[in-house]
Amino acid sequence: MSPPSPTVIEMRGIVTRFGAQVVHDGIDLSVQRGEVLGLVGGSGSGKTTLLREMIGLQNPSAGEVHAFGEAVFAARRTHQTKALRQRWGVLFQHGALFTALSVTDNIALPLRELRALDEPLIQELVRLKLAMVGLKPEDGRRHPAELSGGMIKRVGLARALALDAELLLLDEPTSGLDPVASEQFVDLIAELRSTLGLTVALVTHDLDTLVDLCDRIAVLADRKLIVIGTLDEVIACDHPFIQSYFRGHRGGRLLSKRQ
Amino acid sequence: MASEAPGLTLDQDGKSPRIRLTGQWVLRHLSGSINKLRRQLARCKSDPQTIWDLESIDGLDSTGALLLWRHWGRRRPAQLRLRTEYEPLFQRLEQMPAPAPALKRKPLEWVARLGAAMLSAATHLRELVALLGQLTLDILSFPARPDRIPWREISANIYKSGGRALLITGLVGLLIGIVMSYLSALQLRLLGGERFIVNLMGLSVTRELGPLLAAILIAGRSGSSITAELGVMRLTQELDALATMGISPFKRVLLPKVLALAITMPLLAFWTMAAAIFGGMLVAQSELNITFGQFLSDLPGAIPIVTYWIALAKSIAFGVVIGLVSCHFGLRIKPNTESLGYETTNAVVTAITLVILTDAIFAVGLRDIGWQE
Repeated sequence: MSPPSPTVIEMRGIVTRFGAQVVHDGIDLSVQRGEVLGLVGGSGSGKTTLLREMIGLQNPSAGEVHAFGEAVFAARRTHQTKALRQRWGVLFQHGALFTALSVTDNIALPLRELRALDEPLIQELVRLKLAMVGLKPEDGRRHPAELSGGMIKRVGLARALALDAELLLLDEPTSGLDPVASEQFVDLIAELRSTLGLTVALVTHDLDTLVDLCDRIAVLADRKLIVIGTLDEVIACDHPFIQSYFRGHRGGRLLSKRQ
Repeated sequence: MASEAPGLTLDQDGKSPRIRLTGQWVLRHLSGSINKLRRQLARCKSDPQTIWDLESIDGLDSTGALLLWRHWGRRRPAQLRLRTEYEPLFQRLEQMPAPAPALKRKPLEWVARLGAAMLSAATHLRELVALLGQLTLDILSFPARPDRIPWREISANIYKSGGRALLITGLVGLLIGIVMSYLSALQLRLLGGERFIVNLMGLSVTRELGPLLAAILIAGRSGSSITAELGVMRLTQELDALATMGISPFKRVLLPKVLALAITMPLLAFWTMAAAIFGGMLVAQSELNITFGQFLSDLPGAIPIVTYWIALAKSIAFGVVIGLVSCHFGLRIKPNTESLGYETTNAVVTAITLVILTDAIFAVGLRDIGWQE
């Protein structure tokens, strides 16, 4: 058997326009198997848009996106492009849980949709996923409206992992969490990543998350990808955005602690 | 791709049976062949000597692991050959907590449910009365502080619930007028009382149909939008934000909506009446040869002036009922999508029912008034 290709997501020449506003102007980006890639940029720099384009939620104005070697925006929906959707899981910024369904049903939904597994197996898988993200079986009965912010993120993560995705996309995984919950969540993602061998692409504003979790960091500014590399490589770049982002008051303090 | 499909082979020739698993034991590849694998697994008797060889599989995820785990009776077989990278998967399964105990159904639950429904109806009534009282107090506070009257909000709501409803109420009024008078025209011609079309149309449209039609349309149109709008404002904490600024949401958000409906409902009712009577005139001319001039000169005599006053009073009542009911249900919306749809439906259904109930009360209460001898 041939070894799996090392590139999970490959984006080439991405251009995104909203009306006259150009958000991305020729971005090339790839996500390698097994890595955690962090996307950073100022507000409105199109981080979330880029994440949405990776998984085909939004069509770029120009450019190509390949996931697992398949074109995400194929002219025709084939069996292959549909199968792609089983290989990634997405955690949305606000969880995007189905509020009408209980936690268990939220996680079971993608499993039931396969129409291949029987109900006892699904129930047990849901229990396993809940345990994975540190929730109790009783929590499965609750509805999203009754959950705290941190629990919503955990359930969202459990749902993203329901199909044993190889690629996990996280949009602001720690936003809206208190420092303790945010640290726990980062640890949880790090643990799942090492035990499940996940590839992770995440958008974040949180410097702690970047430093603790990411192998490589991609910085978006001025409609371009200005640098991609390890934290040290990124900091070495003298672009004004990076200087203000990482060398500002808070960034500087964090980095000095790290050394 | 054949090598990727999950499979197992049973080896009997050694001292002890050996089950070798191959391929990708991951959900993506399992989902197609899960029943076949289950049958194969079932054929492998799990006696303690069996060696489970997982060393040559190409992939294993929690679904694959769980499938095996269930076959093994939720414990590791004595002889398990496993690559270390898959160790955490089985550790997780070992630590998996027991399922939450099922909730017990209580006996006589239907009695409790019936009681709860009655109590909830009583709560609705109490809350509606409280809302009406609150809004009345707010109105009474206005003469003392005329600068606090939310004119802009009232005017915006009049435009939203009245101005933008002109087309639909006019169209429906016209069509109903045409249908009504067409049917009556056939009957009246049989009796030779063609000119009574004016009385028939004039009275029925002004006294009942006009106000009722307009109210039902507005209950569906503006009632639902008020409920949804208030619900979302509650979810996004806009109402809380207003309250923290010392601005009463009742005065600034709810009252303008109810007042605007109380003002627009009579106007829309008269507009609908005019459209319906115009529809009647069109039919009277084409079917009964009654000209517009004849129709219009007969009309004032056919409708006693008190009918208009009844229509006015009724319409104001309808407007207040629709406004109150939709505000009430809007404030009950809980933060989930299902509740939004549920309460909006409730608001429209309750508003229409209460409008018809109010109409019936007016009809019975005013049964001796406004009929010509």
